[in-house]
Amino acid sequence: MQRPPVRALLLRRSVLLLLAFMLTILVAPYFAPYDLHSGLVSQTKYQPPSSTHVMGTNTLDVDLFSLVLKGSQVSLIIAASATAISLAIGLAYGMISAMVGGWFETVLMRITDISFSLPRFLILLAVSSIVSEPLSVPQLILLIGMTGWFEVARLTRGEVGSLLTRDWVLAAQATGVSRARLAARHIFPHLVPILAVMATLGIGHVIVLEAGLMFLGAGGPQSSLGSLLQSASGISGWDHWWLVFFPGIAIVLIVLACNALGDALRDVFAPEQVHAWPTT
Amino acid sequence: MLRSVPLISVPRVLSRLAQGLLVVFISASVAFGLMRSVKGDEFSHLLDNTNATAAVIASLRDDAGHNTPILQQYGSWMSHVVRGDLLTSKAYRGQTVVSLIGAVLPNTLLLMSLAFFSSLALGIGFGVWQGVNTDSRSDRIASSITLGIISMPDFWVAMILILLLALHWPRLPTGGMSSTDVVGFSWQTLHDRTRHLVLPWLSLTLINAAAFARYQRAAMRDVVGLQFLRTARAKGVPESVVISNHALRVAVLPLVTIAGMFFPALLVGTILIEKVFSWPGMSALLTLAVNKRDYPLVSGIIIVGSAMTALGSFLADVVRELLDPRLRR
Repeated sequence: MQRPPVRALLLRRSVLLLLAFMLTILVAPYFAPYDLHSGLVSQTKYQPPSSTHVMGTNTLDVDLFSLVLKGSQVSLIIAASATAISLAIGLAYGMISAMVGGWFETVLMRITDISFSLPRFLILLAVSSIVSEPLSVPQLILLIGMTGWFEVARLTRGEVGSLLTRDWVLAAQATGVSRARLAARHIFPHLVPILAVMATLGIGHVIVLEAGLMFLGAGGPQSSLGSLLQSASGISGWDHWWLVFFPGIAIVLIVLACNALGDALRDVFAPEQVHAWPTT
Repeated sequence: MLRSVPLISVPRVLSRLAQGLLVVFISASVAFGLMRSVKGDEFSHLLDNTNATAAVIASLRDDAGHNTPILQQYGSWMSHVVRGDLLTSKAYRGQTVVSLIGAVLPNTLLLMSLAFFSSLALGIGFGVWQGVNTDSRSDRIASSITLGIISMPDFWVAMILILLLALHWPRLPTGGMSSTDVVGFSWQTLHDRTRHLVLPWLSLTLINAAAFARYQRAAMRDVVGLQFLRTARAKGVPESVVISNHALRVAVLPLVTIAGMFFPALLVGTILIEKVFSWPGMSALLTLAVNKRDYPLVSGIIIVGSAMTALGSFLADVVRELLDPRLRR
């Protein structure tokens, strides 16, 4: 197998553009036109989009554009961190089960199959209702990250299982390489492409998941895009379309960027196993 | 020599059934764990809100079995679950969780099954067309559209449909399942129900059809280049028959598996869309249960939700067994 063509990847204009978009989201709130805590100064609540407030204002006089910038940042941070946790757990679990093999592997994989079938969304919602205060950002990251690794483990196991049958693995073992070194130095580099694809698709998936949780009333970070949409739903949203439209468009753009980036990465690396995850 | 082969491998179907039951069992255990991890119980509020003394409350707890060892409580919870006899709701005094869920479940199932079958049909049709005309201009445009749709949160699509259609077209209601003034069984009732169903069904179908279409396109692309299709064409089978009878028979199999894996997502999508349209289904019950911290009700919904998705993927497995002769060994 060839080394991942990283240079070819970085030369792709679409990939560069999408990475730049993600970075912009992370820093954009620092350049927001209005302060988020400056509401109630002018009597400008429920203003439709205009040249002063490009996305209009909300019920508390706050500039919606600044809120959406902040929300995109919060949602992206939550999604990226939760996905990182899922990838780390799933990678370790999948690699260990494939390298140990035998009945151990069978049992571990049966556990992930079953965990994957549990109603994750309902369980997350139940947990959020048990915690009396709204979930903080780190709590939300942990909860989503710790329940999102089953598919990563399954795909990693499949990939490692097929890598283990290669001749160079036999060659490495013949030279007396330890199992840990085989995993870290020989197997892991081949997993980078599949992990990159899973990471980008996973981030988009978590953003939608988080928005859904907030929409159904799981208490969480007030500033995320999901919370913005949740507060816009109902009567105030139907009369003030911009409150529904712009936070949603922000979600769509970020998720679209993730999906497009995932597709672009898959085209370059072509790991056939990774299909877009069913969005929950 | 030809041997008669059973249509379905019974051991495999039984093992899938066992796995489905295990999923429901573990969901019930998770629900029990969640209920028990809450500080206080259904009697805690009595001390503040009623004249009940601490001694009375302690005896109530005793009667309810709260002072028995945790394993015994777990056993009794499980035996209730197995008998389909869940606890009583806290928010709705005196109503059992089973009767509450039973009252709204048909509404959820109606929306969910209609959307499931229409999006499957639409997605397969669209995906096959794309797979056959792969990399043509129209295929690329269609792929961008489906990519855009699967990047949208389900409930936001529903909200946008309300903003675009319902607010300008009052014949499409934005909420509920029926008008209050239309009762009884008549054509008028049917018309009224259909009117209420259009937008929730449309939002749910759009999202899922786009996802199915993407999978079907990929599956079809893998098949169209295969040798057996060339053979079929060479012996003069018309192109439309090659696609519909020869290629699709193979290319639809991955879709059946995917459809089975889709049930959890479909359930969540239905719940979110029900919420947007105030559809009187599981969503209303779930929101109320979460807001009022009605844990017996929440755990009942978790168990029913897991049973629904487990049943869905089990049925998909059975259908796959029936459709794929290669599995019959």
